Amino acid sequence: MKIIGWNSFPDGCTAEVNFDGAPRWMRLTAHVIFVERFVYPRAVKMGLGILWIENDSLIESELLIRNGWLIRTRASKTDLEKFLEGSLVFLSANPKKTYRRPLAISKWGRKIALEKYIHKCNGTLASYKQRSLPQLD
Amino acid sequence: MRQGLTKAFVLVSAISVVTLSSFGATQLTSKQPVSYNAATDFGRRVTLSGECAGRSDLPHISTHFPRTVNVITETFCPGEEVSVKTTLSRKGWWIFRQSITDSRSGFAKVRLSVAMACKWKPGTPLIEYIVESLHTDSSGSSGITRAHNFLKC
Repeated sequence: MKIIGWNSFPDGCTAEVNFDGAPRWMRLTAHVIFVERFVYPRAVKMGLGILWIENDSLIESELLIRNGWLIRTRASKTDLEKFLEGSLVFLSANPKKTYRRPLAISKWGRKIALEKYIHKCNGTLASYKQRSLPQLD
Repeated sequence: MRQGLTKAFVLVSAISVVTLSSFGATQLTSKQPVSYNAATDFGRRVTLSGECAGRSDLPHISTHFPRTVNVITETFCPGEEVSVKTTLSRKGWWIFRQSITDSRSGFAKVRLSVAMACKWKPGTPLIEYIVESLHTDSSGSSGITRAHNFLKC
């Protein structure tokens, strides 16, 4: 018998928990190894969890929404969100240095560290910190 | 003596329950989703230098070739030679990872599809696939994109 919990969702969904809007204690806990696992269910209950689905997929969303998940289609992802996560870059001729890859131990810490690494390499760290798209010439 | 043993037993039981109940609490399947229609977003920018962009999609199970993981990357810059170099990696045990690198050049817009065999056995954890791309254009502009996904075949 399969137990249906807070992290049960259909195949093909992509889950993301964003602690940016979380209280400070939760953000700090998300950086602590081992203890971090306890804040994910709480964060989802607070509405910080997003389930990304394909545009044409049909899922039973009632239980997922009741568990706190926000459901979004991949097409609804904005340029800003893509830029912040590092999967979209605007090419710039600014000189770039080589940086060492960051080390982080928690799941959330790794995500943040890699995003910062990408933006450091691309010279867009300032825009990343301001949570805005870079000013285009 | 007996009371001490009882206390120790209760303590060990409590620790075991907490530890076991925490396993799997953070088993999210994947993160960093990217729209497969991202290329259309570039058209919104009209300024010359701002039009040049690159993107990396989320690694996904190929719908054309069963048991294959596929990723699409793209560099876009009107009126210029562009290139993209992409590495798709599968995380393995400890520091060992398997990678496939491919590159492509073209004019104005270049799209690259990199694929590797999907490895996964039922009952085992999802496997992380990472894509990293270097996008360049003829004027020397460049940028790096990265995305990852946890997949099962």
